[in-house]
Amino acid sequence: MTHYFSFHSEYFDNNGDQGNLSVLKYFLAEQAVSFDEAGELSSADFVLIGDASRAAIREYGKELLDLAPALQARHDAGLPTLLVGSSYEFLASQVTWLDTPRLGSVVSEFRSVVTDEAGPVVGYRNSSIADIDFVRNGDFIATTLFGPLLAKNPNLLDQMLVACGGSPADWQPQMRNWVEAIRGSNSS
Amino acid sequence: MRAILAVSIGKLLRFLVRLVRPGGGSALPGVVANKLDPKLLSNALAALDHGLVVVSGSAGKSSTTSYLVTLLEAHGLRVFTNSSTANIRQGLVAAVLKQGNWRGRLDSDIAVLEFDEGHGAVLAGELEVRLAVLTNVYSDQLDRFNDPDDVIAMLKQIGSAAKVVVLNIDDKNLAQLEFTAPVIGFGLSAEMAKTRRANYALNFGPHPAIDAFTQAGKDSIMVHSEGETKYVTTSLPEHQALNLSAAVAAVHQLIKPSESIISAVLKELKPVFARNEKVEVSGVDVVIRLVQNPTSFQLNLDELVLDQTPLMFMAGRDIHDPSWLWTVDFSKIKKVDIVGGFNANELALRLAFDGVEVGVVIEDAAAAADSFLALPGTGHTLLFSADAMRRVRRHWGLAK
Repeated sequence: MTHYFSFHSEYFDNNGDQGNLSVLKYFLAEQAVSFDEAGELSSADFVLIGDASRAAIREYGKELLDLAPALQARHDAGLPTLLVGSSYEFLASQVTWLDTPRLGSVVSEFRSVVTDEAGPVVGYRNSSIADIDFVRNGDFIATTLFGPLLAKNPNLLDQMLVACGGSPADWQPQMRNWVEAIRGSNSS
Repeated sequence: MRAILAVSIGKLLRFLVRLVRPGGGSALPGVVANKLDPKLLSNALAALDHGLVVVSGSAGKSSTTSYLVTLLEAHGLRVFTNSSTANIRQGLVAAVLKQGNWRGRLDSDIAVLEFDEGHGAVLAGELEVRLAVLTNVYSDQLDRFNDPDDVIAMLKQIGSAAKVVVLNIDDKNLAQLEFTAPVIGFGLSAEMAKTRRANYALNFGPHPAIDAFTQAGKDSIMVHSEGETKYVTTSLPEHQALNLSAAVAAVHQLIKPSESIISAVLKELKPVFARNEKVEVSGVDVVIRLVQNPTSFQLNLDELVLDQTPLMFMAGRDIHDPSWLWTVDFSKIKKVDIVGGFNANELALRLAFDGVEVGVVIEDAAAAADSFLALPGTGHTLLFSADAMRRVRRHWGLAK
């Protein structure tokens, strides 16, 4: 049985990041792998911390910082984790185990980031981070890209599915076509 | 002289653009005329006897503007207004070109203008605003506004330029704002507030209590004025209650309205275009609903009668960042026959992961619209974003 933890999922869903869970649930259910919510981060196999509004960061930022040691342990061990958008931006400004990104003016756009292991990673971003859009250590990913990330990046999805006890996604051809169309139109 | 030149060239351009593109063409003439005479808009508005009213916020702008205009016109005022597709500077200038004379003067008593939040914040500082209506703050257009905090700041700027502020007291993002001008509150009745799902932008702060001047019930608006409470009935659908509450509150600040005229108007009011409106196209009745953000998409889905088919959803180019589609709960829908528009693939993918069967994806709006009309069934229902709406309207000959 695989467990996930999503930090205040109701509020950290600014840009549909909880959709990452929908995608994992969809394919893991097809593979008959149970995927249930964990009560706390320490007992989770997969962790999602989504993008949030400034109001939510103001309200829950301290609680998120309290999770930093556990997140650092996941980072160092490369455990399956998605740290997205403003949550990544916030934590990266507060901890030393994530490289401190250079900040500039907010850029909102589709972006394709070339990565060594997963090829081009596509997503929308709305961030003041100027230089580091995608950080990866094993199955730990911190990124400015949302949209949700796993729905539009089959390579990353397969990686997370395997890390969650499943196997690579078996896409319906129609759905795969939609993903390719989205990636194609946003890969420039 | 400058105004005459700007208006002449603007009107000519408008004429030419509309020859090529019927129903469109407000942007270019507006841009050119504004360049030639940057004071064209402010001079036209400053000359109006009853001043300028602006309506802004994340949603409800068009409906509130439309209802307020109707109420004022029913009281004999000549009202200058803009269409919802022309709520930024060039669109407003284009409206002056359309309705004004050769000197850019308007044959109107008052202006009621819908302002885009971002452009409005800049514009409001250049104009004399008699009254501002602030509708709400949603987590909307984050690709443009970055964060709801920034929208709140823009609405604060718009309100600060006004002599009276009429605002939605149910949205604490607005209720928390402080203005030196008098604040008049509108909202929903306690009964309505229990059943309406309004996802205002997250705000964990206090909710200041502001007296309600108007409160919308299921089929009436309660008006608290001069120590009295009066009711005016309305036949508009429930989802328009808050917009109507705003318009009724505003009209009381602008004129001394007649209760009987308000009642008569409210009984006859129709929703503005594409707000759950029924249109006939080539002999087919189609119910059309505009969806512009997660909240309006969700509200429209909640109201859908599920046995009405066929169903088409369209996500157009106006959705620059389609991520928000993933925050809408589509799970009550069994099948969407056609998914159309520039962002059709994204919407189709979202629907599929929510367990919704997708018939076919057609990115081209006109082709999707044609295929939709050809589908069998008597309950054609179309939910579309603003860009898809414009394209379909034009294709179906509904654009004026």
